[in-house]
Amino acid sequence: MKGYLALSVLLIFLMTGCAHSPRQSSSVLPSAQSAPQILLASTSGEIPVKASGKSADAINDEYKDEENIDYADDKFKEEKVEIADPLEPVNRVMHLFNDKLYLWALKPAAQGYKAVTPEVLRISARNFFSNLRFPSRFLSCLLQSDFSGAATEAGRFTINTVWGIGGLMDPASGKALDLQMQDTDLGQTLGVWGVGQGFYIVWPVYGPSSPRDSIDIAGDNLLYPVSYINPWYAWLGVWGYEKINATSLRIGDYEALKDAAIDPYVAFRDAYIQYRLKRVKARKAKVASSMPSVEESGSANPVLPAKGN
Amino acid sequence: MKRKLLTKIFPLIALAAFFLCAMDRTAAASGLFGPLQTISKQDGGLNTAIGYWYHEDTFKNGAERVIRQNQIYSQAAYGASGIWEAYARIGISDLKIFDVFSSTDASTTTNKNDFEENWKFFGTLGAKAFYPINKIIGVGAFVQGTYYFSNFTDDIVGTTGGTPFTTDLKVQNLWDVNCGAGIQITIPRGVKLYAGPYVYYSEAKMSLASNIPGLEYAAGNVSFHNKTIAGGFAGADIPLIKGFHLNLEGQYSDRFSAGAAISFTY
Amino acid sequence: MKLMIKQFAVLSILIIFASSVPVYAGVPMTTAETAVRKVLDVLKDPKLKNPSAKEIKKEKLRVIYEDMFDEIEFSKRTLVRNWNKFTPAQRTEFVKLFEQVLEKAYIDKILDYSNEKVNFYKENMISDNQAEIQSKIVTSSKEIPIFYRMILKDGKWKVYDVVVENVSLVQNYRTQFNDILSKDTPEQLLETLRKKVSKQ
Repeated sequence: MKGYLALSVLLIFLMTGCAHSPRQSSSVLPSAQSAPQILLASTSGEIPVKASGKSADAINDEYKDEENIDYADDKFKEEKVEIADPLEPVNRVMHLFNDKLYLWALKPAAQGYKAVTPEVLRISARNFFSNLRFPSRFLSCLLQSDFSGAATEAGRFTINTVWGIGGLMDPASGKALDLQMQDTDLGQTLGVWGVGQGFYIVWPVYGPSSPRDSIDIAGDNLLYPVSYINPWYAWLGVWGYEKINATSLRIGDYEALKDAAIDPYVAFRDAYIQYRLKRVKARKAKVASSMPSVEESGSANPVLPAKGN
Repeated sequence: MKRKLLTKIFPLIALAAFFLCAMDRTAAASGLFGPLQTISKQDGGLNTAIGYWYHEDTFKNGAERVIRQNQIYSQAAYGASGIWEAYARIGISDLKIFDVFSSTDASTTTNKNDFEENWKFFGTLGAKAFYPINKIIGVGAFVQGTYYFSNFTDDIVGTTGGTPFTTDLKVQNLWDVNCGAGIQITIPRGVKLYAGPYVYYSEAKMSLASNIPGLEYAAGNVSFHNKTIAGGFAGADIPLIKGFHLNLEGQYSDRFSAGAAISFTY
Repeated sequence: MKLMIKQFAVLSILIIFASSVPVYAGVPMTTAETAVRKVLDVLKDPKLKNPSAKEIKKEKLRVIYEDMFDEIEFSKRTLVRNWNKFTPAQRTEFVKLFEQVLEKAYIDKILDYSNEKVNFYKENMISDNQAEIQSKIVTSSKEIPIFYRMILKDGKWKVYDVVVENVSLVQNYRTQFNDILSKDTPEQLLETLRKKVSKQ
């Protein structure tokens, strides 16, 4: 594995961008049905691999059989997260459809647009749309009792709308004001409330989702002013522009993840699930830390397992 | 070195600004001029503002009319080195023209005397240059122009010779150009005080939809413009917290106008 | 009164010390950061600007990442229990092919590097021999969090997992290999990898 990986920096992996909708949500609570798929074997407290291979020809030793290879007691084991996929055959077709939609339509359009539009303008356009999504973030913060987050969002919206040229600029996140965008949505809110992902769905155009995150897509659209543009073709134009603009800022990410994958469908499913799960955990940790009355569960580090969800 | 160059350039800019204005007979003031020195950071940067301006002036074309406006605008500016800045504004404004519907003919009566119309869009462009003499005092000059994208219209109902009539008055192509120069003093806490003279020209076309005896601006475009061509301005720019500034300013030509803006420096 | 002030002072000092602990960069963080800086140096090297120097760059990068990553640990963790289903020869081949797949997929992205900033800001010691190093790449349009998970083996910290925007590569491949190996044999998986590597 490589330094390449290291640098995969550039690699933004995430489904965001691409043919896959940026915001969905979801976290999978390690639900009962998924557990068996992941944990290949139950293990109770073995010593992980690292104990092996300390001899002179450690390199050769490393290729030996491993007794305790489930890493079950590894500190990062909570990542063993799976999601039920009863619709897999349909989902695979949708995945393929989205893949072609990206490669044949969205990407060429975004490349052409990128070639003629300086990056500053594209970032401004992204800021503008992001500012319009304020209602959904604000409501999500409130519903999670994250009042400081809600206040931050309200402050950002006011400052960026008034002094950020209608939201084209983002002065609020600058050093002086330091009001950062609250990375939350309605799907995460449901997750924080304890609603699980359910099963995996790939929507055409919107991409990876689940029943829970589909509620997010619907709710987010209701709270998004762009959805109310009339007539429909004007809405479609704005919506399409937003997609092309967002894609132009992440061309290549989707391709890198896809090229590196052995089974891209499974790779995207897993990436989506991991991504949503950790975002929900991060929100839970934030809410817990801002409410002293609640017993702190687990660690504030979203990466570490939170107990009892 | 840099300073020498500035000394040479500055009078040129100032001169150019005055010529530009002088060539266009005269003008109406519109909006704050702002501090003479840009508030953008030294190595170049944006600053934005939201402002309110209460405007009064006297226009004439034969008769003199007082106009009054309330303007709200948003501004984006780019400036650098503390010596120059270019800015653009977009805003909305109402318009009231006093006594424009007063009839001079006894057989004509109207339901009101004043023309009133609500929010219409306008755009403003401006540029300023500043020359710091020392850390405290400096001189600067600016040019600023405004144009109203849409027409103001007001309906009028009345009777003339016993016959009822309905017509409307349109105010089209309202625009202005201002140029000025002044002195700026920076007092402790970064507060900038500035004042100076300016000249301006402002004009609009008025047309009444139909000829009514006793009413002015009978059908056809009549242009009218500001009565006084020069005035003075004074203001203060006060740094608040976290990159925000409060700008207060007053202008006096034939009437007094004033306003305030809150700006943010990136 | 005086005593209270003294206590207060001591307490403040303690707090300052306590709060400064996370800033401390230990060996794992230094190791990861040094490796990444070396990569950036190669990418920025003006002598290698020429497109013809691409192969030299690749070779230099290979040396750095081989020192930085523990590919065997990575492979084992992605295969988990399936590791034992492979013969030793298959294991060796797997590790090599896997490395090539990743290199092929990411090398162009990495060579595209253009002045993004990399900040290493946090080290979490998970246990005596495991650590997570948090870094982010800051570009003009976005910030990408990248976490390196490291393990101490024979006195040397090596990276065995990279978490990009919350997605763990190990976990991602583990899911894929589980899925594939529940249907196919190790040989079939190797064949898939071989094809992927040879395909241009």
